Amino acid sequence: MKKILCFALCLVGALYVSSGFALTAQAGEDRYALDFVQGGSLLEVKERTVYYADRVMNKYENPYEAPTFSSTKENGCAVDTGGNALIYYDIKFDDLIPDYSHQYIWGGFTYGTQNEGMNKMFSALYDLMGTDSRGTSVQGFKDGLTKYTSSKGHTMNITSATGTYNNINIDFLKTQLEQEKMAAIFLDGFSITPFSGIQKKDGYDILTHYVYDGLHVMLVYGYRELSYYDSSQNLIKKDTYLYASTGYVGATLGWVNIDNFCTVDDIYILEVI
Amino acid sequence: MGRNSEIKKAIKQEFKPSKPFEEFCREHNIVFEEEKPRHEEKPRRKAFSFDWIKAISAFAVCFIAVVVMFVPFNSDINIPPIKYYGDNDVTVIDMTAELDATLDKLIADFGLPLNLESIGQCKRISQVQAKDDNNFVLGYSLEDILYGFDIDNKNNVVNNDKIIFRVNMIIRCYEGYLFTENSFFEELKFDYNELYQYDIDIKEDFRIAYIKHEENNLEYFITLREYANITEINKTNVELFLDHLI
Repeated sequence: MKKILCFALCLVGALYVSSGFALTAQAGEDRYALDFVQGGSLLEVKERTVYYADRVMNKYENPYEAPTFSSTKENGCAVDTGGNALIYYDIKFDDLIPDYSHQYIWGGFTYGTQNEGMNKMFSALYDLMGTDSRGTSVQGFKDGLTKYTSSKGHTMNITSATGTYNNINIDFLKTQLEQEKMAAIFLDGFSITPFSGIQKKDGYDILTHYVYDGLHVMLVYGYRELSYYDSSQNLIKKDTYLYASTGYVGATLGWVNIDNFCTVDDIYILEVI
Repeated sequence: MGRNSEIKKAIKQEFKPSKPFEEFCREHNIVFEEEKPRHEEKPRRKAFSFDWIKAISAFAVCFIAVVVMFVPFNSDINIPPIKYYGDNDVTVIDMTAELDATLDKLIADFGLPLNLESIGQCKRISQVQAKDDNNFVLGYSLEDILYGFDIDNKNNVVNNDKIIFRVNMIIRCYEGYLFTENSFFEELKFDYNELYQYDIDIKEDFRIAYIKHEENNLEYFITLREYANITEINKTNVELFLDHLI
C-alpha cells in the first residue's frame, strides 16, 4: 500500500514539475500580437516641438512603397507583415502568390485590391508560422516565411540587422533598404507618426506621435533622417523615422520613430531570391 | 314684555316713511343710473380669468424661448455631454471582402459623393463601431482609392488632361468619433462654393490636401495625395476634383 501511495505521489510530482517547465517555455517565448484591425492599444497622442537653426533631411523611400493588405486574423500582425513582404516580392517573382498580380492603373503602379490569391497565401502563412490567438513568435515568423517561399520554388533570405543604434545596425539597414529590400521590425512599445505628422514651421518642427503599448511587427520600406543643428552648426537632435506598413487603420503607411517612444526587439532584412 | 312691544310699535310708527322710497324719488326727480343686471357681470369675471391663462401661456412661451436661446451657449444643461470615441474605444470591421457591394450600399444609404466610374481601385473599406456597443456605427473608412477622370483642358488650365489622386475618406456618422488625423481638418483655409472647406499642406517632398464636406448630417473628411506624379496637388487641381464630386 505504501509503495502504491509513494508511486502515485512521485507521478503527481513529476507531472507538476514537467507542466511547470512547459508553461515556463511557453511564457518565455514572446509572441507578437498587437492587432489594430480589432482595436489596438493606443496609450496617448504625444506632440513634440524641436527648435533649430538648421535642419537637414536625408531619406530613401522604396518607389513601390509597401503593400498594406491584411489577413484579418486576430492578432495576425506577423502574418500581415510576412504576407505583405511576399506580395512585394511577387513584383519580381510572379509565381510567389498564385492568382495574384500587381497592376498599372492610369500608368501608375499599384498592388491592386485584396483578392482570393492573397487570402489563400495569408491562410497558408498563418498555419506555417504557428500563429494562434496569442500571436506569432519571431522563430515562427522566420520558419513560416522560409517554408512558404521554398514551397513556391524560391528562397527567403532572412538577415539580422540588429546593432548598437537603438538596437539597429542603422547603416546596414539603410544600405539594404536602398537596394529595394524589405525589413521586418519587431517592437515592444512604439509610436506611429502619420505622414501629416511632421509639420515644418519657421525654425521649429511639430512632431505628432501616436504612442502604443505591446508587441507588434511591421514591414519597413524606407527611412527618413532629420538632423537638427543650432546656430553654431552643432548637432542638437537627430530623429530617425522608418517608413512602414504599419497595420494601423488610420495610417496604413506611416513613420515609426526609432529614437522616441520605441523599443526595438529585433529587425530582419527579408529578401526572396 | 307688553310694554316693550308697545314701545317698538311706537318707534316704527314714528320712523315709518310717509311715502314709499321710489315714489319719493319720482316726486323729487331723483334719477339713479340703472345698475347692470347681474348676468352682465359674468363676462367681467370671465375676462378676468382668461387674462390669467393668457399670462401663464405667455410666460411659458417666453420661458421656452429663453431656454432655446440659452442652451446652445451652455450645452451642459439638459443635453447629455457628447461621448468621444478615440482609437482605443473602437472596433474596426474590415469589409473589403464585399468591396463592390459595400460601395454600392454607401452610395445608396449615405449618398457617397464619389463617382463609381472614376474609382480605379479601393484598397480597403472598414466599418468603425463603438467598442462598448457593436450596434453603434461611428463611421466608415475608405483607404487608398485611386480616383481619376478626364477634364476638358482646352485652355490648358492644367498640365494634363486627366486628374488622378490617391484618396482616403472617412465618413463620420457620429460627431464624437475622433478618428486619427481629425485635428488636421480643424482649421481649413479655403472655402469652395460654400460646400467644401479645404487646405493644402505643403511638405518638403510631398503635398497633402485636406477636404471637409457636410451633407445630410454626415461629415466627409477627404485626404488627397499625389499618385505617380501625374497630378500635382494645388488649388486649381483640388477645385477640379471638387467640381467632379457628386
